Amino acid sequence: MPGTILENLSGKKLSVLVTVLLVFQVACFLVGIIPPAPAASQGILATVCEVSDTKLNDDVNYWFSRKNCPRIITLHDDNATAHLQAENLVFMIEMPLYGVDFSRWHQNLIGVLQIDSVYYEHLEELEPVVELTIDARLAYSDKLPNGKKSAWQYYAHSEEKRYMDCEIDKKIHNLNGYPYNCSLVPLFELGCVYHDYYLLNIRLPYNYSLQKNTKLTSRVVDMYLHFIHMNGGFVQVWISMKFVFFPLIVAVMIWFWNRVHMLSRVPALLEYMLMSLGAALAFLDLPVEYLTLHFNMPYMLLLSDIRQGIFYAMLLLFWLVFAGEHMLINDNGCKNSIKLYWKHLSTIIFGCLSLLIFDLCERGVQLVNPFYSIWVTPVGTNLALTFIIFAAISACLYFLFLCYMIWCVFKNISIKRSVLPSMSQARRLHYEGIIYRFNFLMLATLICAAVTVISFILNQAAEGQRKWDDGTDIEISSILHTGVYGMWNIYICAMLILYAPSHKQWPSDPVCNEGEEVEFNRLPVDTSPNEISSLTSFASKSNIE
Amino acid sequence: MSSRILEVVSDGINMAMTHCKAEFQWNQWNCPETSFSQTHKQASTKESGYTTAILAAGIIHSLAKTCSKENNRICDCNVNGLSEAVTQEMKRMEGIPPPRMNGTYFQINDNAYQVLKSKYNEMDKSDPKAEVVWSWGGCSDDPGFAEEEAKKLFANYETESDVQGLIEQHNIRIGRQIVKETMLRKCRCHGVSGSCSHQICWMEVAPFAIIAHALKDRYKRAIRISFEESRGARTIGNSVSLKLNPSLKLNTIKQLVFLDQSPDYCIPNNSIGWPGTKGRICSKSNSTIPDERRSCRKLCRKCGHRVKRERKMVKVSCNCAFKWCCKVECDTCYEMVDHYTCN
Repeated sequence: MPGTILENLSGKKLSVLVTVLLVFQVACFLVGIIPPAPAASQGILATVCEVSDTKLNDDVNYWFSRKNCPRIITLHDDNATAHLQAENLVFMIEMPLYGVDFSRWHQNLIGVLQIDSVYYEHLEELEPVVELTIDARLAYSDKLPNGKKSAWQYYAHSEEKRYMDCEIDKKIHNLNGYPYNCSLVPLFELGCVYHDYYLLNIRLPYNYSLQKNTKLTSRVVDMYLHFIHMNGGFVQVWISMKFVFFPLIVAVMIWFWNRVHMLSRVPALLEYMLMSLGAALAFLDLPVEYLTLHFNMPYMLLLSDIRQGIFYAMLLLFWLVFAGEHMLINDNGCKNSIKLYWKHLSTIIFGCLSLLIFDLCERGVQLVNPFYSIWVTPVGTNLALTFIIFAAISACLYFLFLCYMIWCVFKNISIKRSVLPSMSQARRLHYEGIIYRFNFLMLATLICAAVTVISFILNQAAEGQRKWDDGTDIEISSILHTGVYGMWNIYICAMLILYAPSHKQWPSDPVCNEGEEVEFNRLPVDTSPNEISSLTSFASKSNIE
Repeated sequence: MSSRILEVVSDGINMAMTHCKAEFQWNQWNCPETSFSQTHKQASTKESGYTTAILAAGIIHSLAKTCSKENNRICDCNVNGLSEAVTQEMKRMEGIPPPRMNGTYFQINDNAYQVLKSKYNEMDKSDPKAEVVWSWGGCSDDPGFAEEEAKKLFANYETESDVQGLIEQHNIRIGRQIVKETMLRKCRCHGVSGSCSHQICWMEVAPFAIIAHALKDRYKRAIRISFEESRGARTIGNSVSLKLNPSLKLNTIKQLVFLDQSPDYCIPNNSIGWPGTKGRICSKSNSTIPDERRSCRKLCRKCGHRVKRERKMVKVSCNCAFKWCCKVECDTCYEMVDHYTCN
C-alpha cells in the first residue's frame, strides 16, 4: 500500500520525531530570551530655528542644523515670536540623540510627528480634524574615519498633506494653557538605515489662498519626532535563526523531492503543493537582511512584505488542496490538477493581488518618496480601502470554502467510521490511515493557529500593560516572535517529513490480507496510475461504496 | 554656550513660577514671587512645600526636555536618564555643603551643576559604550532622568536631625515623582503595511500644566508632621497624632508634608513679604473652576474685606484667531465688565 511516512511510522518513532520537533520548538522560544524587544523608539524635540533670509527656504540643498542655525528660539514665548512669519521657522531634528549613530542593524526607520498645540480661552478652538501641510526635507550624513560627521547630503524632499485629530478634554478646570490631545502624524518610512545620521528640516508653510495650514488655529508650542527602529540585538538573533532554518528547510526539501522521485510515477498534486510551500518558506527564510549591512537596499520593507505574502498565500493554498484531496467525493476523475481548485484559488489570488497592489501603492511609492502615504488624499484612502475590502472579502470567501471543505471531509469521515467495522481489515487500516493523516494535520494546524493567535493577543496585552519602570529584562514580545516564527518553520518541516511518500511499502508490498491486496492494487491502476498515496484509492472507493 | 545650561535650569524655575501662579490665582495664597525668594524664606508651611515641589518638578521637566532636544551628554543612552559620569560626580560631591542657587531659596547642588554644565558642552562626542547599548537594544524610553540620580542634583545635605531639611527633601522627591507619575503613554502601530501586528509604546513627560495641577491635589491633601524625638519615635500629626516607628520613613508618604501651620493669609506679613488679600481681584463669573467661583467669598469676605464692584466699559480683544505661525488676530470689542476687588 503506497502511503505517507506518517501512517506507516510506528508510534514509538513518531513520538521520537514529535519530541525532537518539540525540543526545537522550545529552543525557538528560549532563543527569544536573548534579544531585546523587536523594536524601540526615540522621541526628539525639534529645535526651532529662526531664519531671516527666507530665500534659503528655496534651496533644497541648504540644511539647517544646530551648528549653522542663525538663531535658536522657542515657541513658548509668545512675545518673542510675535514678529515672525511661518516662513521664518524651520524645525530641525537631528537623529539619533545621545551622541550615538545609527547602525545598519537597525533595518528600518519609521518617523511620526507629534505637534503640541495649546488651548487658549480667547482663541478659536481647533477643529477636530486639522489639515496640515508639511514641507519635509531629509538629509543624511556619515561618520568619517576621524570620528567627525560628513556634510549633510540631500536624501528626500516633499511637501505633504497630513491630517491630525485633535480634541480637548472639556472636563478639566482651567483649560487655559492646556495642551490639545492630538493624534500622531505619520511622516516617513525608510526601508533601510544605510547612513549614520539623519537630519530633518520641517517647515509648516502658510498660504491663505492655497489653504496651507490655515486650519492650524491654535498656538503650536512644540514638535516632537518619534522614530521607530528595529533593535540591532533582535535583528541579529532573527537573522541567525534564518541562517539555521534556511539550510534545514532546503535539506528537507531535497530529501522530500528525492523520495518522490524514487517512486516510478509523476508527483501528485499534494506533493507539488508541499514542495511549493517549502519553497515559499525557504524564500521567507532566505537571510537577505544580511545584505543590508553592506548595500543600500531601500526596497527591503517591500521585499519582506512580498515574501510574507507569498508564504501566507502558499500556506492557505496548501490547506485548501489538502482538504480537497481528502474530500473523498469526486466524480470527474481529474483530482490531480490544481485547475480543479480554480474557485478557491481565485479567492487567494484575488486577495493577495489586492494586498500586493495596495502595498506597491504605499511602499512602492515610498521608495521614491519616503514621506508618501496613501492615506492622506481622499482618492488614495478610497483606493487603499477598496483593496483592503477586496482582500477581506476574498479572505472571508476563502475561509467559507475551507470550512465547507473541512466539514465535508469530517462528514465523510464519520460516514466511513460508521461502516469501518464492517470492512475487511486491510481496508479498515487503509481508511484509518487516511483519517489519521487528516486528523493529524488538522490538529497540528489548529495548534499552530491557536498559538499564533494567542501570542498575538499576548503581545498586544503585554504592550498594553507594560510599565515603563518595569525592571525585567526579558522581552515577551521577542520570545513570542521567535517562538511563532520557529513554530511555522517546524510545522512545515514536519509536513514535508511526515507527508513524504513512505518507501517502507513500495519496494515490496507488505504482508496483507491477500484478497484485500488484489483489490487495493487494482483500484489505483483503475483510476489513476500516478496516485501518491491512498488518497485516490480512498476517493474511488467511496464512489464504489 | 555654558550659560545655556543655566538657561535650562532657569527655564524650569520660570515655568514652575508661572504655573504655580496660574494654579493659585483664586486662592488666598496666590503664589507670589516672594515665596520663591531666598531672602524671604518662610516657615515650612503647606505653601512652601508646594513651591519646593513645583520647582523640583520644573527643573526636572526642563532637563528632560533638553535631553530629548539636542545632542548633549547630560543624558545617556545606557543608563536611564542622566549620564553615568554626571551621577558619579554627584555621588563624589556628597557631603560638601552646596552654595545656593541665585534668586531662589531653592538649593541646587552647585558641584553637580558644574558637572552638568561641562557635560552639556560635550556635544557630538561618541561614547563607545553607549554605542553598543544603542545598537543592541535602543535607548530607554525614559525621556531623560533617573529617579535616584536626579535627586542628587537637588540634594539637601543638612543632617537628618534637621527636620525642616528632611521635609524639604521629601517635598522635592514628591516634585520629582510627580513628573514621573504624570507621564503619558503613547503607542504606535508599525506592522506590515502599517497594520497593528507590531506596536510600540513610549512614555512621555506630560505638559507642565498637568504636573502643576496634579501637584495641587497633593497640596490639598498635604500632611502635617510633627517630629518628637522623645523615645526615639516620630509622630505624624494631622488632626490625629499618629505614632510612627523609626523604621517608617517619610518616603512612604505620597503627599506633600509640612511642619508649620500656614499663617493667616488675610493679613499682611512683612517678614515673609506677604501683602495680604486686600486689593486682590476676585471673580463672580460662572466659571468651571470651583476656586474661581468661590473666590470673592474666600479672598474678601472671609478676610473681613468688602467686595468692591466696579462697572467699567473696557476695550477687549475678541474673536481672536491664531494665524500660523505666530500672530493672533483679534477684533476690538467694547464690553461692560464688572471688576471685583477686595476692599
